[in-house]
Amino acid sequence: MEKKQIAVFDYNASDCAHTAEAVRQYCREQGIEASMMVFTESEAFVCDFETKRDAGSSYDMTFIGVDDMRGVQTAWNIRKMDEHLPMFLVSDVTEYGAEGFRLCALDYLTKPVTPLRIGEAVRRIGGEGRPWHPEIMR
Amino acid sequence: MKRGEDMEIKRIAVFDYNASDCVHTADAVREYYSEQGMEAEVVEFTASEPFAYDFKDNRDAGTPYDMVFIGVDNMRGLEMARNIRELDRYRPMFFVSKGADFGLEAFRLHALDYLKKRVTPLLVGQAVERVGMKCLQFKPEHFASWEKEY
Repeated sequence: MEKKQIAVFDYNASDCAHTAEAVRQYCREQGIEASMMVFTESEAFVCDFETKRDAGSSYDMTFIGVDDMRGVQTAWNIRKMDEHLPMFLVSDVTEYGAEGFRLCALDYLTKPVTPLRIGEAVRRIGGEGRPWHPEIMR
Repeated sequence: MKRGEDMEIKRIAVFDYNASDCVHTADAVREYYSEQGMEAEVVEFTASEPFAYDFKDNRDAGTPYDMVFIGVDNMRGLEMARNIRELDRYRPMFFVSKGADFGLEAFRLHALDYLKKRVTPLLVGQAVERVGMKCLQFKPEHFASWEKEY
């Protein structure tokens, strides 16, 4: 089976580690081979994403921490680069749910994330994911 | 054109406790389908019981709505959305709200989109294009988790 490429981003390093661990645990439980990249800096995340895109590849899914507008902005930057990337928002607030729909995120997970919630979220992936329209811009 | 001939007529329910918003949303839906040259039967509801009964009757009669737009401006609207989801786990559902407060609940109820009032035909178009994506189907196990969390 092909290794799943997963990116986890969160400005909060401890939350980032926690989400990544939950994803790892889920993958382990499901016997999914995954290669995970973890980012706590938006710039590093976006650069890595650009490099991957230029090389013609992308992540299979990404988890993005959106506790504040900085996180939301990062999610938009990623979405602009990849319209079909399965994206999950992870947050300790509920106020960015509506933004999640505009971003065509597949799910909105509240912190702390558990392997069970990861499982529910990734089951929403299928086909090409939600179609994203460039006109749904801020 | 009769139902079943040449083109399928979309059957759409629009619910909102706010009667003016309900009419506005329904008009936007009608306008979108009219622009697309498609026929749509849009039924408006402003009270929860008639909506729930009609939805259930149509489901039981094998003529379910193709999709529902539910006004969620407060907890009563959210309760309605939850009732509808309990009646039909897979029916394409859209939240229509004047605020951004119910986004998380919309995700948990597997709504397909969250439209800000006032709804335009363009927004309706973007929303209904999300119908039919396999990945967005509501699963019973998700509902169990939803109930546990809230």
